[in-house]
Amino acid sequence: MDTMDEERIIERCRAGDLAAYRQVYNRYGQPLLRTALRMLGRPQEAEDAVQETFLKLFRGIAGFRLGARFSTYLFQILNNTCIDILRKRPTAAADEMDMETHGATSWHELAHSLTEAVESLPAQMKACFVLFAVEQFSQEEVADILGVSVGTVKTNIHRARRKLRTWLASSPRGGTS
Amino acid sequence: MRCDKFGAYENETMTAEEFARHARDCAECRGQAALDDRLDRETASLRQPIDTQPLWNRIEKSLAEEKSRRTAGKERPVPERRKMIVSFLSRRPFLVPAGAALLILGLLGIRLFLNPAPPSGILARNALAKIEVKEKEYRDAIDALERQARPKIAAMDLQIMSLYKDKLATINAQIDKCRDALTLNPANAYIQRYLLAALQDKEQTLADVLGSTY
Repeated sequence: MDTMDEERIIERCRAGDLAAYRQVYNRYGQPLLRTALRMLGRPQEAEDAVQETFLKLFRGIAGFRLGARFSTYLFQILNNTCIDILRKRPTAAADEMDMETHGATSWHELAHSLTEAVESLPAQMKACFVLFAVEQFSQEEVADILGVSVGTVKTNIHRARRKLRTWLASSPRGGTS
Repeated sequence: MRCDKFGAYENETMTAEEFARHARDCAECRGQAALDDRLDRETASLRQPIDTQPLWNRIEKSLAEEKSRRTAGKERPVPERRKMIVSFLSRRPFLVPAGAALLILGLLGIRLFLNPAPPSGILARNALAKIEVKEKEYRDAIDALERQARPKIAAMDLQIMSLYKDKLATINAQIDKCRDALTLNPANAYIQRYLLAALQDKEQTLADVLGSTY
């Protein structure tokens, strides 16, 4: 989908054309769902987050300025939706707990695959790593999506990589199961 | 980890060529680089395709419902809105008297519209004075609401913030226009109704801001 196509689709979305939303979903559904899954770790909640993202898009598309990056806008909505879901969880405090406070051994014991190791990262570090390394946004785009500075994004990505390398080095089962 | 060159390479304070030269003689850095390559390979496998068709069916259904609600002039289901208003009012008790003032203002407006009193009559002057007092109370309550909403608007992302700011600026301009017109013709029920609608719109917009998750 090039920029011109995307602008036409956005215009149709503004007019309430559901087929246009289908085209947005065809383009971004996979990365949105994958990101939500990594951020939330629960398939049902991830699906709810993507569904809510499309509803918010439907309600707020009039406020989107053509010329801005649509993918960044869409992932901003998803990120805010995931944060809301995490906040509403009864065990939110435990989920949000910074892994720096855990001993390295317990973290390694908990994670049995790279997927789990990524999911065990602290929320912001995980978001930076997933958007940059998995979904291949630039560091500037990740900063826009998360509303943080590029410096924060870089630091979080470095820390995440260091943690994941440590996990890979100590885990004979290292893989993506 | 004793050698810090891999960290320097990662932080871009050492070039790839410099690091490659160093790694030839440093087993520790070679190990870190190998792990880094392995991390890249395994991270790429996290981009595996997922079956997203069943989710689209759900999304399409909810979008169609939203669209038909919008077409019917209802953007949100009534119970949800009611829940939101109750929770909103319970946290801001000063809005209840403001609401009562609005009701009185509305009733007086309707009465004026149906039975316009002679402009010179003392009853008309009294009624207009009452309206002005109630309207001022309502405007003060909305101003208080606006002060509460301001930090939240400032913390929003740029696009949503400019959307709300534009909307509020439009409503404020509408309110000012009505006020100017009422200065010339205070008994004009049509302008009173426009002013009331603008104030209600502003109240709803500020309530949306305070209740939003952006």
